[in-house]
Amino acid sequence: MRQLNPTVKFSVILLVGLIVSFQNNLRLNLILVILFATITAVYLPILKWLRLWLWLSLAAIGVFFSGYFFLQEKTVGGQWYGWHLSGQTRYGLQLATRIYSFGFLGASFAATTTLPALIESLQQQLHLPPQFAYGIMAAFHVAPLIPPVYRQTQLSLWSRGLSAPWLSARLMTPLLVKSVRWSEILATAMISRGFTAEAPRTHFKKYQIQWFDWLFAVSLIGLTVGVTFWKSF
Amino acid sequence: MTKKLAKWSLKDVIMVGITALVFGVIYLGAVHVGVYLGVLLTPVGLAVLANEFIFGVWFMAAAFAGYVIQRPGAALITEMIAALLEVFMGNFYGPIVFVSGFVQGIGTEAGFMSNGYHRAGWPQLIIGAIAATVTSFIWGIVRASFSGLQWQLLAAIFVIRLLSALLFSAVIVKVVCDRLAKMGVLSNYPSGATQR
Repeated sequence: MRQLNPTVKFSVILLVGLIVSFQNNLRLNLILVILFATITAVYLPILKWLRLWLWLSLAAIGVFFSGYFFLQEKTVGGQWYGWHLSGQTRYGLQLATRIYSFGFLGASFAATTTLPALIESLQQQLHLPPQFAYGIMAAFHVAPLIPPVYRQTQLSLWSRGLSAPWLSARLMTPLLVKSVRWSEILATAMISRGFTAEAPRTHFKKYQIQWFDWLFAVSLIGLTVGVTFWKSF
Repeated sequence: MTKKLAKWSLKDVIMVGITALVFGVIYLGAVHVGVYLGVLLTPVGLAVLANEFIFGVWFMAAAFAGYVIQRPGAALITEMIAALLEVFMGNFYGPIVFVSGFVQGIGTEAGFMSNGYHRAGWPQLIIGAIAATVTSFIWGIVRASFSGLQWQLLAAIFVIRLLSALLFSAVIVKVVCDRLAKMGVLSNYPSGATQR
């Protein structure tokens, strides 16, 4: 997974997610969950992997009961690999397994791709303009500054005896003032160092679409489409 | 597409990126609240409602950027950048979030498009909030396959999401932006220029 071209990986996983979205296929969901839970287990530390299961399960169990209690018409159930499932249970399971399949598809991407790699590849494969490429990366590295500033604003309000609920205008204003200032300073700094979007650019790392990218795309999409048309339950 | 994007200035891209991050970080902090609320609502089967109360937060970055920059595509692109950054900040749903970003962005964008990007005010923000609720609702039904749910529950989802969108992406965004404009922070942007 790490060797794959980031743009190809992104598009293929996006496409598979879309195919999953437009149907209610318990078998497809389960196959994808098993496949990608295994893949993420290879790339994620075991604790992170278990935590992913925990978070996904909290969401999935909630959705299962929503589906179970609020199914529109009480459809009849049926046999599924020798198990008898009621209509309610089946709908609940369809919703819940979908959460897991999205979760593991996404996690397998996030665990094997870095933002700079994706941006570089988007530039080379899809001709993303350089000011977007470097602008997004510059902005991304401002992220660690945000929680301390948020905390600081909160504390300074408290010390004056003012309360500030989460997301109140009082808290947001200083944070957004800083964001606008940061962006101006960063842009000025980059331009003064000679950043330009027009000049031709060379790349330290070349991203190409190779045979194993095609193999990944064709086999994964083939599997998804194949299971889609397999006599569905 | 790439030609239109190439006209953007670096400053605007970074501003849009940082804005997306600010809202993203705040959202991530609140995600726990959403999960706990969801767990509480699970026994009655209403866990799907938990996220709806804070759904408007997702439209905030787009509404803010669209309101401040007032240029075609600002809201849409911000929301998509926000989605992209969210993937790398730990949203485990991965690339599919990008579709949600597109869908929500296009809804918010509709508000600013409604008067040809000339001036943004209450009507544009409110139209944007409503349109984003509608587009995200349709996509939500597809993505989460809620079409089998009873209509009462779907109606509840829609109404709560709409109220949340109006509160967060219209009222709070408008109040904060006007404050920023008064302070002169936005004097380099169209919305700041018209305010002063």
